Amino acid sequence: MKNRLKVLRAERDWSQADLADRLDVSRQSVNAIETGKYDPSLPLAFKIARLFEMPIEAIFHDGAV
Amino acid sequence: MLERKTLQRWSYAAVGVGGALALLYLPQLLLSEPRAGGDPAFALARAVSVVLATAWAVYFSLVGFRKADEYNRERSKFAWYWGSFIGIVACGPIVAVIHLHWIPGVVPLSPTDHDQFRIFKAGVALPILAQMLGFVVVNLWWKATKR
Repeated sequence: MKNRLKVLRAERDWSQADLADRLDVSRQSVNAIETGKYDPSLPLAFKIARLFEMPIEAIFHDGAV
Repeated sequence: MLERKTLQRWSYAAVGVGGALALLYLPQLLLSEPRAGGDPAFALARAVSVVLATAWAVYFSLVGFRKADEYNRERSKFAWYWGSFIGIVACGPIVAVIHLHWIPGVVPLSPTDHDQFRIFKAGVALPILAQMLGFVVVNLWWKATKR
């Protein structure tokens, strides 16, 4: 699973720790999600989508056409 | 600098393990050494302390797990599943190695050993230790590769 989390975070000038605080997760989680080493659960993906005010599929994509 | 969530998780672990160990050794601190041939009062105190220590450790494990974020919960579940599995599978070779006298200081139980409690303790301790070792190894692997 790929995602645009790093880009969206950078656009808002947030650090990983800032984003982690807003999502109430650890900074490790944010880093692991950004680097594609960990796929978030559906509830966390929805939380991320709500935070960035975007649909989930605009942030996460599985590479399928 | 440790972040708040990590610090909180480590605090629960420290209180859980530290408190359980303190409860476990309370009988030794409060009561005199057991007499040879058995001491019912000490045995009862020891049994109660084991139950309390277990309950304490389980409570703080649950609280720590509930407070952890999903990434760390997933790491813990993954490490317990695969680490325990590897630990159980490793028990066979470990027993074989012990029988071959390849581990200094660890002597295999002989077929003539009639101390049933010693046999029982060895049977309980080996899979627990192997599973915990497996958990630690898989946990460290996850931390090293998924951060």
